[in-house]
Amino acid sequence: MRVLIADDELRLRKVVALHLKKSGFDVYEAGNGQQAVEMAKELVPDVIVLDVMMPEKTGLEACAEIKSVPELASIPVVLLTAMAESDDIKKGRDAGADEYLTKPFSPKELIDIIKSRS
Amino acid sequence: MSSPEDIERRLDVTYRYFSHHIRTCTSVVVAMLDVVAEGLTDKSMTDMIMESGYLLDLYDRGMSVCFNHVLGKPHDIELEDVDIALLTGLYIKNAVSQEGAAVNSHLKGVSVSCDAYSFKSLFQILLQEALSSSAAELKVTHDENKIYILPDKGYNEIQPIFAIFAEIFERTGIVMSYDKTSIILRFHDESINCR
Repeated sequence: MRVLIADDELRLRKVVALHLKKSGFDVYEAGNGQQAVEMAKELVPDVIVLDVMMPEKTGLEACAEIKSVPELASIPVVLLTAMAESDDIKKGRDAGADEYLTKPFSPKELIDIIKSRS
Repeated sequence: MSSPEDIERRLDVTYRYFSHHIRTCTSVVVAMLDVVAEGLTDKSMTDMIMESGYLLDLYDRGMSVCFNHVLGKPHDIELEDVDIALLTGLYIKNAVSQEGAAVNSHLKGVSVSCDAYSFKSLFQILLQEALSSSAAELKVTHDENKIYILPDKGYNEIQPIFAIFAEIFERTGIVMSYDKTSIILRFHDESINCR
């Protein structure tokens, strides 16, 4: 199963990728929202994990754009965010996100969500 | 005097910026400890934990400086000399990952007179912000009374928190200007020494 993860924080991207690979996923990494959209169109992954606060395009913008492409609309999107307030969660849902995970999170929790969505 | 609405807006900017970074650094530590607990550890992983710990401390200090400033808390400014090359070296040693862009410092012998606690915190946060925008190299250099922070690809975005940083620097006469290509800190001639 192919998972695309986008986060501008290199360390977090690497450690999440490590956990996902250890669980048997093929992992692809993007460093910003724009790159995530481009890679999603090219790869058509099974699940997309997006940080919310990213340069070039935020995770919310990237999510909305991905969900507007018919070929990508059904791909589950998990938003990883530092913004824990309920209003922020609503913005994620409005952008079409399927799941919303607040930082700091347990990698196991993310893996469980990905498995349940795939 | 700021209006209550303006204070609220600036507190929100401060909270959002620091909350994002503190939670992100905490996530790295939590996720990495899971890996270590499973015995899958090597030096790069423990380095990541140490780097994130250093950044957590830095963001916590920066948050405190910004909240106190926005709330208008009284602040005794005691000017001290800070060796910028040493400070940049400390940041490189403790917070820069081997896997990402490199920091090239051209500040040898440069020291500045400033409010040391706030300057040290905010300057390193500016370096971190610039590094995260850099593809291969972040250059930190100086010319006469100015220090330049130059990510090779320019800044991904101008962070709203920069305006609050600029106000804090201004308290000791440091003028911070910024655009999509650089951050420049300009000091009074008598506040910067280049040996």
